[in-house]
Amino acid sequence: MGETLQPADAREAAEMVAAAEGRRLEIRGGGSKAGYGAAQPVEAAVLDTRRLAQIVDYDPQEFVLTAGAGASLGEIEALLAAHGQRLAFEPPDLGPLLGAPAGCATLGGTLAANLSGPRRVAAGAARDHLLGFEAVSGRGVVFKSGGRVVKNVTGFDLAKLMAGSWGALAVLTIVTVRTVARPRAAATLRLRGLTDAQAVEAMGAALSLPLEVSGAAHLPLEDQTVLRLEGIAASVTARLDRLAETLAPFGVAEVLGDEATRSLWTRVGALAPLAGRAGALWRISVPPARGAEVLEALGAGDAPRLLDWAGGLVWLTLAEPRAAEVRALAERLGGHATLVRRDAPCDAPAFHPEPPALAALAERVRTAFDPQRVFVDRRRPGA
Amino acid sequence: MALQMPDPDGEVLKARAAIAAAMRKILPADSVIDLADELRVYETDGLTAYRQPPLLVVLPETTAQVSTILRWCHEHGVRVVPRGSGTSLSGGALPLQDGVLLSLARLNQVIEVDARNRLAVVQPGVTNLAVTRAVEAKGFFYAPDPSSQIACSIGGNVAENSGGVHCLKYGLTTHNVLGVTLALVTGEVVKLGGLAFDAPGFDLLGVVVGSEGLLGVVTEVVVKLTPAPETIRAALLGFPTVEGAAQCVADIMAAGVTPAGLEMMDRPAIHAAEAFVHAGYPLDVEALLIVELDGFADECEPLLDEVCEIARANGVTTLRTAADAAERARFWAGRKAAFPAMGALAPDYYCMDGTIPRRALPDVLQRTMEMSRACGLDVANVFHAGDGNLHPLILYDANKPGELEKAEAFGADILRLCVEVGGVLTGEHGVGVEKRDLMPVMFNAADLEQQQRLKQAFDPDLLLNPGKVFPTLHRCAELGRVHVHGGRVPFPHLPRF
Repeated sequence: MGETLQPADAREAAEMVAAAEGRRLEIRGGGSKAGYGAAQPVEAAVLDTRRLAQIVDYDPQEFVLTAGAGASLGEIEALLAAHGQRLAFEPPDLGPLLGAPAGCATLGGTLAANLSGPRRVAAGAARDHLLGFEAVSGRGVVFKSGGRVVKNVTGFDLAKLMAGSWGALAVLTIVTVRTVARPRAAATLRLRGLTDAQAVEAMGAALSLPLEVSGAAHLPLEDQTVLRLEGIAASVTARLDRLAETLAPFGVAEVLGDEATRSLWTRVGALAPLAGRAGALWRISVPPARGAEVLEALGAGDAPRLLDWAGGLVWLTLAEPRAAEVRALAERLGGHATLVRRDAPCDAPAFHPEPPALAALAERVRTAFDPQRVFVDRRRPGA
Repeated sequence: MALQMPDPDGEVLKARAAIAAAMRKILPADSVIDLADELRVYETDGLTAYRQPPLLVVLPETTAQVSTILRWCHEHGVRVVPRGSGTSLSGGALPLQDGVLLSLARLNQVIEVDARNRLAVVQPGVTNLAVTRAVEAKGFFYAPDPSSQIACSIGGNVAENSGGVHCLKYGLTTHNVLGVTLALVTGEVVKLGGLAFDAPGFDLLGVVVGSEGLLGVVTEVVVKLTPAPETIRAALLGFPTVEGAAQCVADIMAAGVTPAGLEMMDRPAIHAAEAFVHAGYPLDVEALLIVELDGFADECEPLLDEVCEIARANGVTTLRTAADAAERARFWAGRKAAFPAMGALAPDYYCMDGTIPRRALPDVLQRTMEMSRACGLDVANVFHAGDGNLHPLILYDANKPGELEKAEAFGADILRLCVEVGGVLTGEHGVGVEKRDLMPVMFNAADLEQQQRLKQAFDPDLLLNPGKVFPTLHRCAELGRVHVHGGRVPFPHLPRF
């Protein structure tokens, strides 16, 4: 590790990038995801975004917030909560799972990682909530894209590109996100005793009805399959009845109230049942009806695992990474696999490798933002 | 009307016959159109102010053919303009004199409906409504519903990131597309996104959606399917002030109720629509809201009660809830007739498409009215109130000297005002040729340069749909718009709202 740079605004960040002179910079927020997919530390100075923390604009009635990318996610969430709002994509706190303290994520890091929680099935991903931004390219140039309104088709949607770029394209300095009202009521239906396959079937049935299920997860380590409904109280009650009726073939469902619902889904997002489990941690995204097939094909029926997104997201701990096997399977099922954490060094890249033509296109896109590869992402070996 | 487009390449124009012959080696002879009469069919899109017959038209039927056409054009330095159904309101599919027009109309198959995974795989030439028709028997629909949905294609929707009346609740195209197959200008074919959520690597899918045909040609689309609601309810709410209506909208959203549709009309729009279709709208209000709620039967009733209570708290003076589908259709009839109603008031009207923060609405409407008085042209406003997307409709008479120019200047001023109050130039119609020269109002040189660098990562020789989205070097004084003369709208059978 070299020195740490801490710009206070976009202009300072631009000067630091422009002065990098062949030195590489690793963009870093709170470090909550420093362990995510990381093979090994890289030789780079750290560009720490946490002084870029001001609230630029927040008018609760507009359901839009503009803030410095280095603002603490926890503080942003507290601010929104004080106005009865929240981020719809339910950013998960993976810090503790990855060896970082809880609550240290920044808003910009959350968006740059495009990691979304259980509400992904109803509300979309982090990328769908980043409306606009200001950033510094690898050329040391400040630029912006998008806007502060939801409905906007003016120019290329570069915000989508920033989400999930993991700091490999530009330094986010200011971000604008959409917010939503916190529902007045929330409830969870809980089923017990389901196999992975039965759980996937039950969750699929629930999501095929117009009930706006906002969470569907299977936690085999705790023998529970849970489905969440949110909204105004009368609506939640009406939908609960209908959901229980639909799921009757899978057993008698138990209803969890507001408070229990909140704590349960925070635990699901943070993968609490997998905390402290040794081994390689995989995040496998597949078409939802195929979630149980992943586990079956890998013979992982007893492995520490959790299914979110109605089966579309499989979190799995394996004693050995078995990377080639896991990735071939994910591809066969129409998905992809990320090696989120490894216990021992191995050659497998963190992200699912792309076919050559796509990988070459991605490199050209990277060049469009950072021709000298000033920005280094520890998750992309060799790049 | 003159419009500055990239200078035609004289060598390409001279080689027209040879290019047609080359295309006929790739495609069946009748899939290449080069007769002047037949080319005229393709000379414009939904923005009919501009016309230009293409060099020739090709109608491939497979991804492989699209790829081969692109590779050939790339190797020979020939420009290509992709086209879906040609319903763009911003000139996105306007041909080039020296460009091959690549129509996706014959890639029109629904390849797969996968109800268990709530997705469908379709070719780009399938119409928006045909996707819903293909999945409705299984209890699903494809959510984005642009008003041209009976004609517009999914490929075009991807290019424009189309919305629709119901996008407030269900999202835009970008939120409802899981993946695309994209033919690059080199002929290489890549898959972006896929059947599962959140593919790793840069989100190139996200940037291709809404890229107006500048980055590649989409040959297959994976769309997300949404369970069809069981019930739809609607309320018609009249307010004595615009502020009251705007506050009602804010309070509905704050209550955590997400209506499927939330439309506002101002006084001139209400009066014009009422005179045109007799929808039963109140004429003694300054603003009218149509609120539509959908979902599961037993929940819509309490949601509707909640909305009515919020409306009362904001001083509503007309409050009606639709007892049945027929009454709901009447609530909508006036709103959907707003555009043709303008056609009845003046020989020409001209439709704008900006988005503003909701809080700015009363101010923007007032300043629009001041500008209207100053220039002597009437304006009426319809507003997708939930998401701030404003459609001012400017009335003018193109036969009066100078009036068209006045209307265009007025329109440009409204869009500048949208940007000034924190909004954007276009909410859903796209930039195309229509608003490209206004881009510097919203973006500085560094912003535009970064976008152009991205363009070059996909298309270094600038062969795909040049002349669109980015401002031209030679500034063009005339900024084209959706002009409608004598009620002769482009695609008269398509509703536009």
